Amino acid sequence: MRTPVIVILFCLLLCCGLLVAIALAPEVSGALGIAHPRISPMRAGGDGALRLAEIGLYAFAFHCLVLCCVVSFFALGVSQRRYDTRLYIWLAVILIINLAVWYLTYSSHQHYLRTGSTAFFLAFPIPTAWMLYGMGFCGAVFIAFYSIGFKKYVYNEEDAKTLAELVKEQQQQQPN
Amino acid sequence: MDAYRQEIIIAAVLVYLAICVATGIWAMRRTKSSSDFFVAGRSLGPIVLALAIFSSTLSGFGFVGGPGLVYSGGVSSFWMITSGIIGYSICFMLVAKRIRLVAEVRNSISLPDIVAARYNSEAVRFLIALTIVLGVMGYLATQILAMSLVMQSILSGIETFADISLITCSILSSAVLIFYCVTGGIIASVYTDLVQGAIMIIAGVLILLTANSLLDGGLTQASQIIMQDDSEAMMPFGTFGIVTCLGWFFVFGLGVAGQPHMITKMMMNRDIADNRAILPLSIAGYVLSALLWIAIGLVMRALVLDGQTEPLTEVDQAAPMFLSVFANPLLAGIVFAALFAAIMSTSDAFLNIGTAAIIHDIPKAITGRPIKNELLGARIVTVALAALATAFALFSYYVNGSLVALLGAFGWATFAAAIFPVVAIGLNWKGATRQAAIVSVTASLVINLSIQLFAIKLPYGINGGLVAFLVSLILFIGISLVTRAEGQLAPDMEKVMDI
Repeated sequence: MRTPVIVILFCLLLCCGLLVAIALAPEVSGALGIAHPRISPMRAGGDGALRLAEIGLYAFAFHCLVLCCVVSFFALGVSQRRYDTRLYIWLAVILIINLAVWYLTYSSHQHYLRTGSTAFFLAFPIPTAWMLYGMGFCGAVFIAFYSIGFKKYVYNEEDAKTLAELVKEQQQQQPN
Repeated sequence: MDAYRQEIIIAAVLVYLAICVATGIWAMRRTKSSSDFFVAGRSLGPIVLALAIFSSTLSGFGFVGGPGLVYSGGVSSFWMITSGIIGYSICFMLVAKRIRLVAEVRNSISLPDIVAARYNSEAVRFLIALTIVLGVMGYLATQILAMSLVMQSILSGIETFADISLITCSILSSAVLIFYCVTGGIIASVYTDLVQGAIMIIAGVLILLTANSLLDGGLTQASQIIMQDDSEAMMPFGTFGIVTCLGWFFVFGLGVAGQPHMITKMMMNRDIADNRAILPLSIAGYVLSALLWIAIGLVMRALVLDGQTEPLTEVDQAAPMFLSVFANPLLAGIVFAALFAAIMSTSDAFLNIGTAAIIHDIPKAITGRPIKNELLGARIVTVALAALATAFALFSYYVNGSLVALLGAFGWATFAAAIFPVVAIGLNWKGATRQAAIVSVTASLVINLSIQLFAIKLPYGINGGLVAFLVSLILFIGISLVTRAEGQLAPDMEKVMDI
């Protein structure tokens, strides 16, 4: 059961390295947005390309590692005795979908910064639609795994019996 | 109907408060032991629990602060919403089953009970109880202050109560909260959460429809108006930038599984198999309620930029202004009731876990045994804790404005950094050790408190909570790998972790 934990630790250490790289990158003016020129206390984003110039790739890699951590945490929640090939396939598919949505969010934003044009999907520009609906879909995949695979990977009647026996054992040991 | 707007809003809020009081009286008859008071006798069905879980995580911040953040910073704060969906899933996968198993096997009634059983350590119990008390004080004071300010703004709209003071409002709103929490304990809390959750869902959907109808082109037009002014505000990282957004994803997403007011509720279901339905139901409620956050923020920013309404003097006015100018009075009444619901559902959850930490866990960690007549003690501590938090909120408001904000900000990130590794990883990995738990909880408290106290700002908006969370996770796993777990895990806990 150490494997997901080792993967998580490895990813977290790399995340720390990337945060240090971001912290050491040259400061760009307006990295956290600027005061809106006309309306206070509203804020504006300013030059999107400039804001990402020094740290964009670090941030992209950081989130890829975070998504690896998220999937590893999901794997950690499954008891070792339930691990099978189908589980690895599920986890690989979930990871690929998450990474793909993140790539599409980031790359469509980059495309917009280069071209200045974007279409709209359900009220939002495409990059934001990827973030909002795409990440929502990723969440739905996690929920699907949990709900569909519940009896196989989380809890079933056999586990309920084991629990009942365990509770009985405990009650016998502590009659008061 | 517009002529009676304020009266309709007050009537809706009064009906809601009356429901809370009635629920308290009803639940009092079902509360016979400390187990009933703290974990509802582990008897809750899936719908009650699903609504209780999501409504206690979406506090007043979601209804006032959320729209304000979108108004001020564009879509940046959407990351808090979307990360929550994945966060809930992780939380159910890592915590929901195990915490309920330990609770049943050890007859546990609080989160510190669970960690004490897992690590076979009273020191870990004490540290988690201390973390909860520290976090709860700030959170609870923030919620009570918000509740009082909202009540004051509603009541001062009619002539009779034009000069009502904040102190009176805080006493009135806290009195309702205390009444149903003291009489009915967690049973009253979760059943009011059921009502509160339902109101929040209805409000979210109706507000989306209203917001969509204000501009001819609906929300798409709102997005286009915002983009024409400043395209980055509508791009995926909003005005706050990529590092802030990714930090929020980490802290608010993974951090869900470290929030004690949420995970404690996972000990209360009657059957673990119900979790299969509770997860999708909770997320559905969360997403529908969050529509209010998105819709009000976007439309208010677009309307101000388009010159259709005056700029706001404070960003937190986005939701109240939208309700008072653009919403049907009846809808405004429902949303104000929903706002009270959101604040109260979070407050009652904090009151419950804070009381458990003070009356059940800290004495047990120090003396090794529970106090006599825990139920009576719990009721007294609930009153005392709520009164203290109210006094603290008022003191902060009138004397030291930064105190509540400081502890409020300390809350979420501290819970995430201190509790996630110890509970979410610890309950699933036999290699986790008590030494690692003690070091990671202590480190997360020290780092978070230092960041808040010294107002440390990191480059590119790197979130201080993210740093504390990362350090805590690395310390927990790293120290567990280099210390010996043999002999630390009780045989029954070993069996629980095999299920």
